[in-house]
Amino acid sequence: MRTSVRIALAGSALIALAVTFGPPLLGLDPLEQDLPAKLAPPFWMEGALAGHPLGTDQLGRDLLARVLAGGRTSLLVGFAASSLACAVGIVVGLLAGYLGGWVDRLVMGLGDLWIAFPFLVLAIATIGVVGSSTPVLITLLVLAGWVTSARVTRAIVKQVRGEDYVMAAVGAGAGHLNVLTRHLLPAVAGANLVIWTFSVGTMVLVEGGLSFLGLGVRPPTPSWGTILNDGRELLETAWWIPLWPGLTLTLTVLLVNLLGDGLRDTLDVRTDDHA
Amino acid sequence: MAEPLLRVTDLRKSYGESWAVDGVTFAVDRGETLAIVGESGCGKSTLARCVARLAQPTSGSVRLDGLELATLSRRRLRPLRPRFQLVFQDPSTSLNPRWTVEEIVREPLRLQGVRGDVPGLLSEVGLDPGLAGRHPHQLSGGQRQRVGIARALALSPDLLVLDEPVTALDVSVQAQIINLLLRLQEERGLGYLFISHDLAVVSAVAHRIAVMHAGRLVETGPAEQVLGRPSHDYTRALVAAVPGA
Repeated sequence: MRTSVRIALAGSALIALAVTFGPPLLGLDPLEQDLPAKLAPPFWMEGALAGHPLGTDQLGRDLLARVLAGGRTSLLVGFAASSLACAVGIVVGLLAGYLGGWVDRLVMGLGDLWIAFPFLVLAIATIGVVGSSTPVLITLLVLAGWVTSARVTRAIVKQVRGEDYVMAAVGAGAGHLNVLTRHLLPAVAGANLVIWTFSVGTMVLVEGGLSFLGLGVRPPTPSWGTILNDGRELLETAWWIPLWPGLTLTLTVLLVNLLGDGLRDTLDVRTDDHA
Repeated sequence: MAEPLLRVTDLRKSYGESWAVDGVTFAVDRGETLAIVGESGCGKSTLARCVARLAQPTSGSVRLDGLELATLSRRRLRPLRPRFQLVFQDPSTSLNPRWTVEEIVREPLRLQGVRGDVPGLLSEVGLDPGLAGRHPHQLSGGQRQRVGIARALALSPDLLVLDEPVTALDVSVQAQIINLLLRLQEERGLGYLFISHDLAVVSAVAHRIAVMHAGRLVETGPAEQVLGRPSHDYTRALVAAVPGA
């Protein structure tokens, strides 16, 4: 395994552990307000307060606690939404590419229609009717995200299903399910892994955007997106509020991309050096 | 008269309006090689796929030992598949690039749920069993085609459909693969349906030759007769086009 993959694995594990167990272990409450302590700067600056190493926001809430607790929401939404979107996209793309004909035209036509439809309108309408919650948010992100994966999967399947090695499998008695799981699914795995790593970051950002519009995570529950947006109007005076979620978000996306790179190289034998 | 190994009668395959295979009739015996020759686009690859039942013939009959294959469903064909196997033209696309040699040769055994001796198969086609852990891109073109042949032999077929099996290879490697195919035929008593456009290759392997043109067989006969005293204008043109002939 390459060094970058080890670093990415270790870093991702560390972040996952920190956001899961950090707040209870450190005895921090992300919701506790302390107005006299509001807008305290981080520890290296003058006026920093003991017990708030990363500073506080405009309501005096501890930023370390909020970033850790917010990470839990953001990562849950980001990973769940991108994983589900890829899973849906892979299934749809496999079926459309393998079956062809009217199934293909119907499904891909729906995909085109879907992309042409403005996501925000859908989000506002849906949340207006059923209300806002984490499952609703994830569902919306999956609905918005499956098309990319489906299109790429379908294109690869169209190409691979006609390859002679698939013909050889059919000639030895392989059924449809066997061809799909043994030959086609592994062939689309690498591309989908790349899509997945890119979409984790995007999903976290979109979640932040929706939360800013009041369509995502409900205040006071923190997420990296909501903390970023909380800090936007105070950027000139309390720049540390958006700094921390921005840093953790960037770091997470970077680590996930490194991980995806490494996994893709492991899955795709044709990039072996010892050819 | 005994039933031949393979008897194809009035086979037709259409794509939309056009007939790729237009009423083809021939037979192949055990231990015999029938070569189908013709220029590219004459329908010989479609014919190979119809016989190997990777394509559904539009009409006509494909009988293996008297057993009709042309009308069977994918499910009904499955238990009969071991008896006829296909070797493909380009070994760089006929082997799954993600799999090892071992996995590739074992696939037919796994699909049919039978035991088999993969190292033995590799030795039989002249490959070092130590290559079993390699991926296709780590092999030469000739080695890859040997893997393709080992896979086709895994289920102990009676008939091999060879679709331009040496066309993608260097001339020196072609000779090695042809010798391998001749040896396997002798040892296993295989019937070969050998598809090729190359008369020099065909003259080295074929007992009988059928000349295909625009979806039909225009001439069929013993190899020496078809190559030496062609009776059809198209065959004469083909023979005349071979350098040094």
